[in-house]
Amino acid sequence: MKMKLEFWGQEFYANMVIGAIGGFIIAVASSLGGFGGGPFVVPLMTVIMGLPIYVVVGSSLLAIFFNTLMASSRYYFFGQTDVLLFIFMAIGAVSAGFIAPRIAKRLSPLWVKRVAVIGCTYLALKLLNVPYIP
Amino acid sequence: MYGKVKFTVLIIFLFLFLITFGITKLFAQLPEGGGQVSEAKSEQIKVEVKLDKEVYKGGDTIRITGKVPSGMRVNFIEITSIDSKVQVSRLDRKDYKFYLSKEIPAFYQVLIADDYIAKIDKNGTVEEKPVKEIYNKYKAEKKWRIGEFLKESNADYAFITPPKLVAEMRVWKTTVSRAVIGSRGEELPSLTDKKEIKRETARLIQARMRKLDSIFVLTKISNKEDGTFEATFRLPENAPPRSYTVIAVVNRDVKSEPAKFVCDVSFPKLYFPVAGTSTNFLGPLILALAICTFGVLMGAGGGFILNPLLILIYHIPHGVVAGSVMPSVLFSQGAGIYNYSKIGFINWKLGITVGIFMALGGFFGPLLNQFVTLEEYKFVFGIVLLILAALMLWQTTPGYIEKSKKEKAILEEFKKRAAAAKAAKEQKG
Repeated sequence: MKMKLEFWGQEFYANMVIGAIGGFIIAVASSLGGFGGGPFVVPLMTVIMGLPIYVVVGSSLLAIFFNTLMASSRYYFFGQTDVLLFIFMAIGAVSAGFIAPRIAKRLSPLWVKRVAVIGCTYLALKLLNVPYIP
Repeated sequence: MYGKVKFTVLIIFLFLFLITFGITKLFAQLPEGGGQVSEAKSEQIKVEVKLDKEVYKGGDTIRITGKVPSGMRVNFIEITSIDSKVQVSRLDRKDYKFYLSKEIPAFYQVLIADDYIAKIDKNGTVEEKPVKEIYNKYKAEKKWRIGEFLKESNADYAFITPPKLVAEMRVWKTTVSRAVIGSRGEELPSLTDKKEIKRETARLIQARMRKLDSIFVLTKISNKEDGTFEATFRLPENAPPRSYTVIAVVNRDVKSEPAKFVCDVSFPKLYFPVAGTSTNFLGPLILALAICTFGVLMGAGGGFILNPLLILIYHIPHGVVAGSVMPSVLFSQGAGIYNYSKIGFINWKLGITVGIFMALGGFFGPLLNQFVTLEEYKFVFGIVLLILAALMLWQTTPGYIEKSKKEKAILEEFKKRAAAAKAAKEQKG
């Protein structure tokens, strides 16, 4: 099932069945874990659904927002939200939004990504209880 | 006629007299006898317990002293935070029942004398085994069961306070068909049987504290010949605030009245009531700031790194971590959507269609989070992080960089066009 999308006078056709299933799976994993699904939704829309990045940047944010809003309210009503912890995390997240762009100009994005790859791999191995990980 | 009435009255009086006398005598005998026994017993088995202070801070060492009747010794000491309670839930994988209580003590520990010899009654024959052996056996087991340990080590003598704190234990029978519509299942009547409440409370405590050595601690309880005993206990840094009880236990029947102390948590340390730990507020704040900044730089939110660190460093339950970090990105997402929508850079049809299915996913995820254990959560998260790492590695390959440069140029071009169109529209308006 292809859906016609219009964006700034251009027309795109995107497979919405893949979009729906992919979005659903990403949302389950991300709300189970408690992280945003951005890094997964963007490749889903660009690589798998074949849409150009300029259509995706804003729209993917909107799609993720639905997930975050729903999951946050579910967690809140399940009594699993520590409001105090949430406040500190929110202060950190919001200030990061101001600080990061200033630092970004002085850093090579390639190197940030490489450090992130190592960091994520290390954390993953630690979470998976791989032996000999300090 | 008159005589007959007089006779009847006399008989009734006699009857009443007999009854009153009998009852009085019975009463006189019972309390006398019972009183004597219980007094003698309480005199005999009186266990005193004292603490060196009334108020402590996290990290302080508490000196517990007291006296037991000669011939006895203190084998267990139970320490419970009775004011600071947390919500804990667990899914029993055997019968798919989901248990939830909001009154599990945020801190609970049983000190076990390391020289205690546990007695296990096996069909009438009593078997003796040093508690050290039992403790080490269970400690080595990854999938230990608290019920079995309590029984085998005799520590169930000291499992006193938590079941009393739990006023309500809710139970759901989960079914796949119910879970599909996002429900915990069919709610059954709350537990009322004391034994069942005790058993499930112990299991919830295990679900929350997980490790054997964070609930049970082998320690030296020095019992002297004159019946005095002494033990020390270090209150952890992250201990929750307000009142605690300390109970010294000799055996199933002989134990002290609870001694009370207060844990003082003062600024800059704060108590996180749902997470159930106290910590310096600067810790989580700096962690969130640093990780989220790095997260924005690497092009992913902070949650990917923040959540595992909150679990690994602060030992906050995974349900609380997910429930508290998730809403914190709402602001930045909202701001982003607003900024993009201002320049007409959102395809609403695409965003809302995929968004509806993502909202559906967001409806199930938190429910699944309650049903999974920490180990399963870590596993899922580990796999997700590996995929993320692979994605980012792909983004550092020359081919991708070349492609993304072109795309970025187009993106900037479109942003300019959008801004110009917006300005033109405003001028017209």
